[in-house]
Amino acid sequence: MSASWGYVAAGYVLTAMVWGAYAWWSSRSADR
Amino acid sequence: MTTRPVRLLGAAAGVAGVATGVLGLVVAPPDAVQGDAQRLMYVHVPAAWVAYLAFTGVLIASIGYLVRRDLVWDRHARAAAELGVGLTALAIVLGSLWGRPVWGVWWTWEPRLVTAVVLLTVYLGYLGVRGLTTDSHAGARRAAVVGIAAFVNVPIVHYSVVWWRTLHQPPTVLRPGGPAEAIEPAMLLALLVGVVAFTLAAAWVHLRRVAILTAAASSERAPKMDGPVATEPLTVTARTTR
Repeated sequence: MSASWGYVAAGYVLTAMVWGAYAWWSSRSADR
Repeated sequence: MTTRPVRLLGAAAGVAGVATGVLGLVVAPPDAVQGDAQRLMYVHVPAAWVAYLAFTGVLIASIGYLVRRDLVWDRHARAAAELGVGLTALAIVLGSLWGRPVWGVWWTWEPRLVTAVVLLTVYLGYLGVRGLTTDSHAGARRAAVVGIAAFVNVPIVHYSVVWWRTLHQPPTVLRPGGPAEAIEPAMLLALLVGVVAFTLAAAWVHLRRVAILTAAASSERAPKMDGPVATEPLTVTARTTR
């Protein structure tokens, strides 16, 4: 496995976290 | 309230997001030159494209507000700008993660990178302008003017790699003369599914944010029920006891 996988994994995890944050942020009162 | 179509949109975004991960990390082959680092393209490019799309939404909604003077357009502009700012920041960080193994540096003063940071800064300013007044229509009017003017940055960022060719690679798909002919079908599929996933997720977040902003605006207009209640003046009748 090449060293590049560390950067790739960090990028995909960061992307998932950003979308998770948007999902949380847009749910704070949307479901009231 | 979250409606059934919005929930379905969220579910579709989730499925497309998982598919992007599988296609980008497993199915697509490593790049002949860049190796596995190139897999970051399947999230970096969709983040940038959907940020452009969000800023196009700001432009359209800003024009809509100035023409109709209806605050619903302003709420769409604000929600779209919030998405565009976050996705631009994400695209910059993902580009940095991609640049380190391929270029050997996290950051360089290169036209695409600099114009992208200018784009991010301008739209952060746009969101800041919105907070300068408590008058909803005055704030919306100012924001709309800034939202229209700021859009000039979007084509500058996109064409920066064509106009000032330095380190960042030129567009692979959205480039003058059409897409690159040699792109591997599995790579193109992963990229397109990534764009679909980001677009669906952005639409889902956008609709939920507009619903929140609409509910907040309605509650501001509604009469306050928890304040002092006006009553008849108290009257005291003197009574004598015998």
